[in-house]
Amino acid sequence: MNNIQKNILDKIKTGEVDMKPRWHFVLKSVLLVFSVVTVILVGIYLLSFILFTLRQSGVGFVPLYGLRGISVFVMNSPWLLIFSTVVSLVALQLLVRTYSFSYRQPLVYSMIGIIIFVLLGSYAIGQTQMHQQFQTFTQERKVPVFGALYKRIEENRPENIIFGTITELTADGFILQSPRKGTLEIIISKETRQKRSVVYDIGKKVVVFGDRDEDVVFALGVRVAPADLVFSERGDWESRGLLKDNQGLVTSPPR
Amino acid sequence: MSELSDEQIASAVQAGDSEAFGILIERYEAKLKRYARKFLNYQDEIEDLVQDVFIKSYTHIQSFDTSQRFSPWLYRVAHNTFVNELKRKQRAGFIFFDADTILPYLQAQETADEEALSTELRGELDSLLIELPDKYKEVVILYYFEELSYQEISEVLQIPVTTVGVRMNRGRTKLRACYVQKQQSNTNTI
Repeated sequence: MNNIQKNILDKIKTGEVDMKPRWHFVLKSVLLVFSVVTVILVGIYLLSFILFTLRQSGVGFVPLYGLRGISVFVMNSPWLLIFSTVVSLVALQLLVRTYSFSYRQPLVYSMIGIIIFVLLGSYAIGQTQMHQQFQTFTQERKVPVFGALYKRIEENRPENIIFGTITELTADGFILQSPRKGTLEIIISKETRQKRSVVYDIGKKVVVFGDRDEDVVFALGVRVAPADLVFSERGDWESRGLLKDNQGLVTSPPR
Repeated sequence: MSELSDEQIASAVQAGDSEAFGILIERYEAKLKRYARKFLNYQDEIEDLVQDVFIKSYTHIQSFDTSQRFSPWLYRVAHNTFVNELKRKQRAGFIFFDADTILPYLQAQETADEEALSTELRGELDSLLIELPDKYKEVVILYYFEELSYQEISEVLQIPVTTVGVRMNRGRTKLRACYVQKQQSNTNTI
């Protein structure tokens, strides 16, 4: 018996060196799986929330309206949330890299896989009314952290993005009733970017991007508001895709 | 007991036969010492480091899956121990991801590799290894000295098999360049 062999076997016999029990490794594996699942859920939640925020604040629509639009988009995007999402994706990559199915592949493949997975998850969440319901819930009750997140969506809506309902058609455009900004005259000109096929009718809900001069807005872009947009102030349940039942409880809209 | 495979002995150790671990030490001590000497490039503390590898293997033996091969698992423990030692000595920073592992490469051909390194060059391999950067050196050592396959090296280093091939090719190219340089300097001296 040589030196190393003798030393180690002696240490084992005296109990100086002891093997870790199997449950220790099982627990580690379970914790790793739990961490992976948690980070995936956090990543999906954050990304879906970013998309929801961009949509609900109108910031997501404005890059279509030229350089001004891109500038407003860059200035008003939720960069902290975007950074947090990137951090969660990197953390997920680091966690997943310990599994052989990941490290056997080039990093770029597993990163693309993770991004696609999180994008699909966010898309799936976007198809539900989850964020709309969370937003309503946080407006009805005081919810720490989440309440502030959802409240900031409307508070942070840029001044030059206006949501409202068309109340009257004019020679130059239309009159818009905005829940937050009152009655505004919208001027449509050659510089206004919009779908050619769009027809403005009284009662139609639209999002206007433009320069405001008191009660007149010179539109740089106009689009019809998507049906699921949280459109107005508190109480406009229908436009939130939510209805109140007889007891005043929030329920999902009938499909 | 000595006729049993490494995996069967590891299974016996897991079941509580700690004496059986002595056989694994016997089988791998010389190999790990050689791996440590070539990889770390110094002689001091090799005995302590190899002992450390065996102690870590024993304490973590319950995490070894006996349906897999034992040697890549043991070399993985050794690799981690030696890399930590290098970091300690060189105060190397933490690298998130190695550039070699990011992009996909064409599948490396393992079969042609034996021929690729000439017999002459093989004779000089020991003295030329010192010239190689660590990441190429380790692949070359594991392949030529420890006789692990690309697949096994991929498991030990936890990198894609294609990256093993890329590092091997780059390592060989550097070795050849060093060999030619050495030959030229020898000729000039004469």
